[in-house]
Amino acid sequence: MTDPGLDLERNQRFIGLLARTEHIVRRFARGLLPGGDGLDDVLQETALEAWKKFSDFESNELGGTANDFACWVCVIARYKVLSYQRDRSRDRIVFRDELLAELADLALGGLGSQEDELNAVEDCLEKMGEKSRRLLLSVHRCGDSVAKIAEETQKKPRQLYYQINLLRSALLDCVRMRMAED
Amino acid sequence: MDKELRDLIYQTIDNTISPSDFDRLQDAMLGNVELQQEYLRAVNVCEILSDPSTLQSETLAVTLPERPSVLSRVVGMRRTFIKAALVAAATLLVTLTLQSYVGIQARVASPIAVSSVINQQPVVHRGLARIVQRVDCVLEVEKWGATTSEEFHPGESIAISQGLLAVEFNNGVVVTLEGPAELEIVTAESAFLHTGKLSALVPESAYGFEIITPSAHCLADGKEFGVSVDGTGNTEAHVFDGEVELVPTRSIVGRSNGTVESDDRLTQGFRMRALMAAQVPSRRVRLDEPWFVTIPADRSRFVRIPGRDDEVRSDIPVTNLPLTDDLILWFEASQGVQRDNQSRVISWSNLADRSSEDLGSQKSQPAAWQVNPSQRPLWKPHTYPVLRHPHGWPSIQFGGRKNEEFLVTSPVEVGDDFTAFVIASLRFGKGGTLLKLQGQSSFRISQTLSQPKFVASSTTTKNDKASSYQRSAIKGESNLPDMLVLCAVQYSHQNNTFDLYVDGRLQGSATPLGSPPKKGTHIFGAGGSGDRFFFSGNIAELIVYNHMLDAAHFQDATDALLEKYELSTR
Repeated sequence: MTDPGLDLERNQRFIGLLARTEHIVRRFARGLLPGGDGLDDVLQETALEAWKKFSDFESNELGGTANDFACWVCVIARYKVLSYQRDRSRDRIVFRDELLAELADLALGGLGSQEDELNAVEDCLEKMGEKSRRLLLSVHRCGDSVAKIAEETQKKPRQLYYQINLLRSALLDCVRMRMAED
Repeated sequence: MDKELRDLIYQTIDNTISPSDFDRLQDAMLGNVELQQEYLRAVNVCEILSDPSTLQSETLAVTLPERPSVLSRVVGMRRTFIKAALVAAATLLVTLTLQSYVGIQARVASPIAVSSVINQQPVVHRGLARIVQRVDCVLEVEKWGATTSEEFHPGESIAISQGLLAVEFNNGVVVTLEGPAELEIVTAESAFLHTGKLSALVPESAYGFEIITPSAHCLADGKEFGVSVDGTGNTEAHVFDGEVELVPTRSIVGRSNGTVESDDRLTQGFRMRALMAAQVPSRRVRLDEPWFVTIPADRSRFVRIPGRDDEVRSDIPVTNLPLTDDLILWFEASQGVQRDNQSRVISWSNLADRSSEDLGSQKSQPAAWQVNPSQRPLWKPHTYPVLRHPHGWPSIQFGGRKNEEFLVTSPVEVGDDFTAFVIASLRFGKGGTLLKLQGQSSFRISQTLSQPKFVASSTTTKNDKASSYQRSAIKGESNLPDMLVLCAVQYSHQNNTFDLYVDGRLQGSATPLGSPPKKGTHIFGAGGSGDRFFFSGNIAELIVYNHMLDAAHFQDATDALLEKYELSTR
């Protein structure tokens, strides 16, 4: 019979690690799922699988930091994505296995730079004019939309769409430069 | 970074990419670490932008307008979830928490698919566009016996080898395609012109409508423009009313003579005002070469279907007819003549449609057309001067057998009860047919070969056998050549009337032939396709009522025409 006190401590540790690293796992899995289809399903499966195998992680061989945990969960997520895509390859746009493996390897290797990337995004967004920033964020967030901005600025949504892609490119270029500088 | 690939990456993230484009992206990404990194970075950045809780900067936080309280609640829940989870003690709670973790993620704002942003109108579960008019048009699929749907769905292509095809989108945009051409319906607000020419009429509510070509995007911010694409993908855009924003496609932006570049100047569109035009080559030879070249706009290069609300393009008053109800054909050479750059007639608007009672209906204009440039009659602005109009009246000149010029109307119903007026001039020694009405039977107003005389004739099948037919004809007196003459015919099987008048004088009578009304195309200047009786002379005006006018109205109409063209004074 297990000790209830130990179980509580173990659960707390798992939840804490998961909470600290969930955004890393989410971005990792999002990169492997074109369009983000099935992302929530994959994350749910990943979390449950991680919980089942948490004892493996707790062994000394796998380390114990949040970064180690993130890397470990991402490996689980990789196989969950693979499994998900194989099940749905007939009716969805999915990456080929070979490319998926290359992307997963690359993404796992870049897990450590996610914080730097976040900082770079923040810096680059601050450099952007407020109107451009709002337009860029409008397609990604609730409460605002291209249609709404189009109405306010008397522009056509499709024109704004082109601007959005230009802003995305500008932001990506800025982030890449910032990362290179760092 | 190749902008074409970058666009494909954005489409993948937005979940708007097509399977074929996705394959292209995958092909490019396989083994290309740089491109894979670019893709992963784009995904990460978009994920960061999607998650309000990740951006800590206050500057960024205040940029968004007031958000619905639902979102604030969701974000707040996400943070409190962590604290609550820390005090959870049971495995069951963990499991439940894991499930709610996923549920909460789903409620946090996710990227809105671009298509959902752009297409604000409710989804219409039918074709995005439909054929509203065909003029001497052959669709490629019909060459092989396949039937063509009158409606088109996203991804469907319309390929025509000749003629004109007018397609109306659900948002009211009317695109006139001139064969040979191929147009692909992309969305409710965009179409891809692979090759050929088109003109687009865009109602104000549909501004933002887009024609895409291999080298440019043409975004309508105005009423009328034309686009052409040649066999190598070079694009020309001409603006006739309003404005159009021209934006190079990714293939132009991204490549120049095989090299990859990044030039922000290229990503900015070129805004064209009315009567401006630009050429966009499919490839640039040099890096410093501009992606577009301005040229003069040329309306005559683009054919369009005349709209119901088109303004009459002439200050010359139309004939003061005593009766405009029940007109089926009314063509005046001073009104609504669409011409090419050689002043040849592409289309001639039917004023009868303008005067009909169903102005609010959406039926297409039964104009007269000639899509073949080599068979278009010549529009002449100043012919046959008269005292009150020393410059003369406009007229349309038909070149006879040598040129084989004629115009054909869209199908209009005609029966065995009508009145026709033609203001025309004849040439000496040139026979031919001025007007042929094609219903169940056919009716012609012709000129005899030997003398400038009018002949009115009616032909109908005697019984069900096509080889047995009746013909009834009246030959008029000889007229002066190269002078405008009013030819009129009163025809009614019911009233047993078939009379031919020239300049208001009765020339003769014959027995009318009976036939039920039938829709048919009607021909000006020839007796039919393949006919040798091409008219040689000019037509200034042509009127057909769908019933035989009573004597008073016939006289009034005759007087109005004689007075207008000053025919009674000579």
